[in-house]
Amino acid sequence: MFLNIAAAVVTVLTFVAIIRRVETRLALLAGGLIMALLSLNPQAWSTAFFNSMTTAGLISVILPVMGFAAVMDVTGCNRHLVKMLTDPLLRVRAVLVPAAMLVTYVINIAISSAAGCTAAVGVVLIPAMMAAGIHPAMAAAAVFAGTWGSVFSPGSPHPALIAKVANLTVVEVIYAHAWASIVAAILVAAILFAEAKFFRQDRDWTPEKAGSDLSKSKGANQQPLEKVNLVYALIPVVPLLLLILTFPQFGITTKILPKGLTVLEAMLIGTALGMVVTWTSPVKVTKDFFDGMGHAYASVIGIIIAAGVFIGGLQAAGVIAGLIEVLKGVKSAVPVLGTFGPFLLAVLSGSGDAAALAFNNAVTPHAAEFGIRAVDLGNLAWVGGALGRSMSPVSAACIIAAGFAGLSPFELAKRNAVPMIVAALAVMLIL
Amino acid sequence: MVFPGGLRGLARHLVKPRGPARAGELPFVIHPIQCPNNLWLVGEHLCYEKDCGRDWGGVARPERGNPMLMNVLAAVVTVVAFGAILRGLEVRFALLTAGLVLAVASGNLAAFPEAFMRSMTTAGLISVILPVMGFAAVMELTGCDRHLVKMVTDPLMKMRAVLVPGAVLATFLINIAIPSAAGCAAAVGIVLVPAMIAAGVHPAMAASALLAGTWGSVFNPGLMHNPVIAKIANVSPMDVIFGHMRASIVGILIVAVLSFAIAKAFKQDRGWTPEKAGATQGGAGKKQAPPLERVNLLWALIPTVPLVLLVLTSDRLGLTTAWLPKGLTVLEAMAIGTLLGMLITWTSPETVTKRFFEGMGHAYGLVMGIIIAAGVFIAGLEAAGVIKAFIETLKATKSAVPFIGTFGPMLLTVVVGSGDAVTVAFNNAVTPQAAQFGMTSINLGSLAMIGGALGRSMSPVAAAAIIVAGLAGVNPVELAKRNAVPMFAAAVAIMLILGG
Repeated sequence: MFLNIAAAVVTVLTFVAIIRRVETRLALLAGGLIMALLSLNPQAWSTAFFNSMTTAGLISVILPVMGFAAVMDVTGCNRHLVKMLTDPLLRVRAVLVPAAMLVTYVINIAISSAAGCTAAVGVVLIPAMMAAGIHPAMAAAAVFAGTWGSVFSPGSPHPALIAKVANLTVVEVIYAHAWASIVAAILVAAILFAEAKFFRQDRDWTPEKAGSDLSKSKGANQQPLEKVNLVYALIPVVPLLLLILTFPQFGITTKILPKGLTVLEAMLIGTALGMVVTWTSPVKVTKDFFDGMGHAYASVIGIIIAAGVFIGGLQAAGVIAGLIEVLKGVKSAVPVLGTFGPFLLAVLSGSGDAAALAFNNAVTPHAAEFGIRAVDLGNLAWVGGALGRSMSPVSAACIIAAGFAGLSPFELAKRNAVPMIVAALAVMLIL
Repeated sequence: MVFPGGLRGLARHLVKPRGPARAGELPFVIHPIQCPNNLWLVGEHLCYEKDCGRDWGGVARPERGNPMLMNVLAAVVTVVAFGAILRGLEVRFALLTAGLVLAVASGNLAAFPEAFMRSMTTAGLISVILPVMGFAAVMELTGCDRHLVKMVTDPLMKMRAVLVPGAVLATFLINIAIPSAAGCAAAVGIVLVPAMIAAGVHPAMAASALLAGTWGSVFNPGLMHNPVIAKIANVSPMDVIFGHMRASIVGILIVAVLSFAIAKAFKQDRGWTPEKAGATQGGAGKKQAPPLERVNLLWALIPTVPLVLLVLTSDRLGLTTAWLPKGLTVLEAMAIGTLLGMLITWTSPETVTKRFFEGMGHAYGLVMGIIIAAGVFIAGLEAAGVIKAFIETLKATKSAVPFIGTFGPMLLTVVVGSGDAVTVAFNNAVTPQAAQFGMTSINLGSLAMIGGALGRSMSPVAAAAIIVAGLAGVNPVELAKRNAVPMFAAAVAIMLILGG
């Protein structure tokens, strides 16, 4: 009983600390340590740390993706992809707002960091949309609303973790929520379109009229591209295409590759292609690839370790089993909790990762006991967290997009609240 | 023992000549060996992990192409790759490319991503190297390492004449307590390498001295070869250790003396700075901090806390076995050290957390990067069938058994970075027949074990070499160059003592 109360207090304090912008990894590590100490089992802490830091399934998926992303950044392929997709967009201004959201969504699949994608797309799209007469906040909100396309990226920590829990491959995990996420994305686009029309935000605005302060936003510090090199632009999506094409359930390549390509193989092929096509020094590419992997280890695996340690603390305190028992009593509430728990935390803290990872570590393995598939429950937490981030005024992506528009991030959050909540409901009902 | 007849039966199985494959049979042989430490040796694949039952290469592949041609090609690729590294080519790139060429040439492209995947997820290395490097980053952040370096170097300057051999012997002793060469190199290296560099020793010489001591594990009864030999000779592991003790002590003294002589002869022991030696302060990224006025003893001791904890809780000493039966793990020791350092220097926990993870990430990109590249290279050699051919040659040549028993594992380890696979193979296949060659099986087994360990201490692709080279900011090949003579001399001496 004492441990239950202590665990509840520590959990609340941990997440309050995250909302108050304490470094996420520190908050989770400290929370886990306190619980491990209280339950007189300090080795639970180091065991969880050890297990999380060496989980082959996570390392072998996340790190190559991030190494590839670093190479794409350095070779400039990312910028070609962004320009290729945004150029035609500006000619169809009637549907500019929803189209901007969808294009960001698609680009976010290839450039899976929400902040990085917002920076890459926003620098091109937000000024162009403002020039077309769209309210700056609406322009930025549209881009920001697309930053959960990463739910289709295998480089996020979530699909690897869900795959481990549900004993599937990463691509199968993504495939399992593909329909729900596509429907939700279309919903978001439609609602944004309606909002823009209804509140007359889609024409005849100038930055001055909207009261935006552009002095603070820094212009792009890279030269605009003269023209798109189609081959360069396609390289960032090559690994993704390879993964989809060799996906065993499609049966296209089962004869030569019975299990499909691994994520590592797809990324290595993509990197080699990018190196050859952009004719970049292989020494430089090697360095960038490993630097990208190392950076991802510190940030992405770092947060997975911290979440794993936190759950290790909860387990040492014996509350996980109790929690599962309670949840079994209220089976119908589990999907709601799984979706809106990470969603709310993401809105408040700017990232749903900690909450979604914690939920998927602790609750999702027991999904069957609640009458839901582990892969579905895990996807709910993942997509819920991603949707919450896309309406969080404190997320890095929101701050970057608001900076391009010269407005307060809250203007963006306000506009994205309705579409995101509706999308979360839709995803929950479908899965 | 899963294999019928135990190790002896297994050895007979391995040595027994087989006829050509009959129709319907696989054109290759599967060699499953379960070692006492639950290591699996399958074909030439040795998995160090606890989940080692994993099917990542459990089947030896059919040999393709002309074996002679493959051997020549492998030799050429190896020489070119190591030559390129010597000339300053990026190590990871050179090894990856060599591995790719060999994999393609042997028609087994899949060996490349397989080895990449296996190396990048090796839990035993990740869980040791990354926490050590995270701790090292925190020590640098808090300035503790500067206090330690000053505390150690001030008195060392007075007896600095014997700094290099002193470091060899100290590492050797610590390696008995921390038998993993890589873990020992990392734990000792973060203390000793910066201190020796600060004392004016050439960075590569400082790292070489440490690497030269990383075969002290031959005295650890938990090192897998000791129990393997004990089982073959039907004695206890301690008997095996006593059997080679005199030879090993002579060997390490020779190494220490020769390291001392090399440092003197090439004037590597004084007056060097990292800049002068062309060292890039790899992970450390040393900033020009103002010199310390005086040493804070408490701060100076923090960097050594994890090492002291590891030695004190080692289950060999039995001090803490009552409540920590297996001793602390490296990760635990480093976490405790980080926490203590944070409290004593009163540094913001946010900064410490960030730096710890940054240090881990940096180590992943750099150190694990090289280990991945080396793993891919070795997989290329395996795919080309060279390693297998080498072991077969060893088994076939009987007259020069002591010589081959020592230098076979040694040479192969220099190229491959780990002598465990070939030593296990040799001990299982040849050592049971030691009496036929006029030797005791303890001596022959010990020769193979020590030969492999000595080879590792001069291999530029061994994890331990990569780690200390990273700490010193130099190329691992620089270490290999400096250690080659001492290691060969020690190997000859040990061979004469045990094989004579």
